[in-house]
Amino acid sequence: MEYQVVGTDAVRLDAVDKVTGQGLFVADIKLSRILSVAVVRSISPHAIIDHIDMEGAAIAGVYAVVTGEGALCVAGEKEVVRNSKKYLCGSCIADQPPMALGKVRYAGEPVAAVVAESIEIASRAAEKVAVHYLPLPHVLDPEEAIEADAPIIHEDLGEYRILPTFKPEPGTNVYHHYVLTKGHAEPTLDKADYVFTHEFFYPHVSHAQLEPHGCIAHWERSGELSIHCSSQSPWYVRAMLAKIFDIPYHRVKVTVPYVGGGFGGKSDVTVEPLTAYIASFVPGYPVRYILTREEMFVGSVVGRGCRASVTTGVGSDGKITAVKTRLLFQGGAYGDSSINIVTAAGHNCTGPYEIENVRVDSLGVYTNTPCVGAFRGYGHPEVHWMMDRNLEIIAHKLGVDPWEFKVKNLLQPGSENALGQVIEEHDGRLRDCAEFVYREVKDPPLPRSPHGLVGYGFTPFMKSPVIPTNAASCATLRFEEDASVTVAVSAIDMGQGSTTALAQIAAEALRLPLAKVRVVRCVATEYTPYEWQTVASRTTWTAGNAVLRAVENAVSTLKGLAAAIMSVNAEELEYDGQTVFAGGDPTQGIPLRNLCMGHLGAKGQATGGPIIAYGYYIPPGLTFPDPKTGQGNVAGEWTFGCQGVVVEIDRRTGQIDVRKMVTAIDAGKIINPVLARGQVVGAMVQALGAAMMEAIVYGDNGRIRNSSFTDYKIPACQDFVDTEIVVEFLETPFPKGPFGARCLAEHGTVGIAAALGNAIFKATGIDFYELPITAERLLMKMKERERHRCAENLST
Amino acid sequence: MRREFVYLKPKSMAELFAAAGEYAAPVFIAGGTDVFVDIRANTLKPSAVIDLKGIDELSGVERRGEDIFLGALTTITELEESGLVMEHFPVFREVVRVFACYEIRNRATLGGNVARASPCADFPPVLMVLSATAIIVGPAGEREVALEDFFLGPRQTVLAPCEILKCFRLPAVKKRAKYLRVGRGKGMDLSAVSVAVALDCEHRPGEVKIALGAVAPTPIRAVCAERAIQGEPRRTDLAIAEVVRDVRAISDIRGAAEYRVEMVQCLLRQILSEIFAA
Repeated sequence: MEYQVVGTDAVRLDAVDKVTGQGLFVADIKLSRILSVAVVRSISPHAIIDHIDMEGAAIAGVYAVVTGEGALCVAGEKEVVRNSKKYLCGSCIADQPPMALGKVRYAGEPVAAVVAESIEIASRAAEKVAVHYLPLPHVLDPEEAIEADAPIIHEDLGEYRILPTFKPEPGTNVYHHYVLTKGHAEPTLDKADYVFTHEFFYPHVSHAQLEPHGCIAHWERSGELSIHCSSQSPWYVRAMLAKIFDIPYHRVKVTVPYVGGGFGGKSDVTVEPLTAYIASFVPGYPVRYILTREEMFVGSVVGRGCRASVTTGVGSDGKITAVKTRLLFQGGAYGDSSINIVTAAGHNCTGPYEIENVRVDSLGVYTNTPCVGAFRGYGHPEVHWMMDRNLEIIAHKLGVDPWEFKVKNLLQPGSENALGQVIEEHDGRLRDCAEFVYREVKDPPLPRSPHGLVGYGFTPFMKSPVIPTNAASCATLRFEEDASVTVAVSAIDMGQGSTTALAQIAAEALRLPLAKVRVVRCVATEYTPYEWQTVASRTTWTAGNAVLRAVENAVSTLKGLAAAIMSVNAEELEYDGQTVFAGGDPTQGIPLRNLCMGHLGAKGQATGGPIIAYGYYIPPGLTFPDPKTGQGNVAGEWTFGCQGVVVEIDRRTGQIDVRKMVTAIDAGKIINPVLARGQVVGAMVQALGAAMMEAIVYGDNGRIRNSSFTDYKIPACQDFVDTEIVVEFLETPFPKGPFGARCLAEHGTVGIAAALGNAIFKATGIDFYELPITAERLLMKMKERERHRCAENLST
Repeated sequence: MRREFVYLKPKSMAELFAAAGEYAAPVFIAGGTDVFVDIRANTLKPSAVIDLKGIDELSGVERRGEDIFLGALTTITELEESGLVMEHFPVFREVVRVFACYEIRNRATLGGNVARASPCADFPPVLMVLSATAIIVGPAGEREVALEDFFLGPRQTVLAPCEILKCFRLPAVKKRAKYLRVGRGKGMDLSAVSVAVALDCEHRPGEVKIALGAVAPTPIRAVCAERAIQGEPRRTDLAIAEVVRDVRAISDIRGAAEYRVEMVQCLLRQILSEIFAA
């Protein structure tokens, strides 16, 4: 099928706003009487809050000093307000107060806040809040946190409100234990020809969004709560605030202007409950809280953090017979924002391989660290780091070619994945993706330097969105008087280009030029229709389908109106973007402009009215996982692909030069090739940068040692300026997607760390089990091996 | 953290010393690219910040007799754009290339880079191997200190509370010099290890000076390695072995001590081979 708009490199609709600095972000919003907030954060990773002295902070210009227990309000008459209610946030597991209550569970947790007329006054006053702690033993590592004598971080775990599909283990630090079983893993492992066990670690990393998290909360005198925030999930924010503060949903208004990067770290809720809680003590005043860069490490969410152990059984024919995996997620002090990552990682931890016998125990473990949240890839990079490195190491140990070994076991149409779902042709051409990447990397170039060691690696991958079974996307479509079109969705364009892609889908379906369609930029729960969340790489798919349905409904209304006027059956009518007509003759039809606001007859008689249409989409057929096996139709979609990396390593310094990075992905129809490529390249760079230099480092005292860009290094343009970047899209149409489009967003992050690890091995013979692979770590391992070899030579 | 302090910008030395005397431990700034990071991090809590940029005598690059004088307020960009500097000391270009980013190079000054006494600062090792001296001015007048005697510890120098750096004096001697450093990626970063070497080709032919950054509490001259090399390429291995005795590295977030030792040796070997090969 030939498309006019879909499949073209349309220029991003937000480009001019952002390039010229005109785009409005939360921090740009000016409101009269707005107050500022400074937050006092815990210096202790785990402690009882003995008492808090607030009096000293009540300096001129301060309106309120807030703690988890209540507040000292000093705006008018000095007054102590105590909470009668214990607020707890969380939709899957309600375990987190907006501000620490009774105890602190990580260094950096908000303990108190000062609201003042300026940020300077608030900051100065915040220094005068004295918090007295009674320290408790703390635990940072999930392996230690599941030991019997580990300090318990949530004594009340058994009493929290929790959704039935999640399995906490009260009395321990395990807030969710997902089990997946297929076949009989343990007996098969006992009989396997070869059995290997390997352990891996993926540390906490920072999303490092350009725009910090921020929120303006205003408890209006009318009793309504108005929120402006930098969020991927305005409806989720609304639901959470309505629930914890017990107000009707329609009286909470959440507005999201431009968002400067999310990567999952602005999904669920982050600073909104805290800001709304603080603002509740100064009703009538908008209260603004924008995180500093340093606060973003502790005040939003961090990503990843996983200790993984995998035991693999392999037959003498090279087929994988069984896999047994234990994943321990270092979930941080509160579990709600990571609980689904635990499940998603469990679903996907076999990688894109056909394995008959599987046992997965995926555990979300509380630790005295900042909370983990969604991060581009959502558990998939962690498990692919584990599984693909594992297979690569097994291939080396067995003396077989990793390519042959992996390809022999790849999922293919007809095979059953670990969840019991049968893979179909239209799920995408995994094998072709793998072959493309392998061809691209397997004959690496000569080293640039005489000290260079060159190696390549490749990692086939899969990803599925983990979403509630009724996760809905909605769209409304409105014709304007000149027959131009405004589409409203609540999908957030945080830089990924969804506004442009959705406009292209609408224009194509309406057979209008792109310039005739506008998708609203500002999402407001007051005006734009429901969207579950902008996460899981699903906007093009689900919001795209909602837009398509809105178009269908709009066209159907147009035809109905035209049918009434022309006295024919609506089914006989056609629509070509300009006219609704019968008998195949557009010249005898009614122009769109004479229908879209209702029809005006020759004598002035009005028929019909302005056309506004609505569409929604919920992925069909999803179920909860089976309580016993963990299997089921829990993944709405699969996207398959493969990634490769070619590195050159300086044997003198350990410095890693990425010569080439490749992704081939079967993403169905590509709506906008240049934006799609941008997504994949950005994801590869972000994930590769993380794999080479990023990790949040905790001191023994539980505090982050590198919570600023001075010592938390992310890739800069210099890092990959000489890297050849190849992105190949295979376009097997996805029957459930708009114009055949499939999920495509986070996927570029999934396999890249493992591909890097494999490439390093190929170049140096050194296996990494832990990220990041820095020049320092690589050099020290090479030196250690040198010393080892020298010692061996001496002894022989 | 936002912090309030008194900000002063004197227009002459006399005004400066008068103002400085009024506050306990005032903090001097030139570009402010390092001081404000510390103020923001709450590790520096000054009551007064005195901006030196209004004092003309601290600026300028000029040749007087056999020496070249670099004003303390010379920005990194000015250094790069000075024909006089680049003609005599092309090694500065190697420092500039790895020093921060455009925005910071436009503000940060040579004086600030030295006076802030960061163990990992980029310019001190190069200034040391170029035999630079620091000219210090205070209420009591001027004094001159060799750069290797300038640093006392991290963030500690021989500057008295009311003294400032006025300029650097570098002998206009032709030297073959090189600077190498390593950070954590290819983008902007503080150095984890740096090495500067200069071979005198004119004044004392064959004299080699070696200085190191980020491997001791201060930038240092590598005296053991210098003693070993004696200007002879064939003694390189000995110098590489000896430089370990110069290093007093610590392990921190930017690198483990053992890694720093490895890298000092690696960078020194690379520089010596290039210098002797030229």
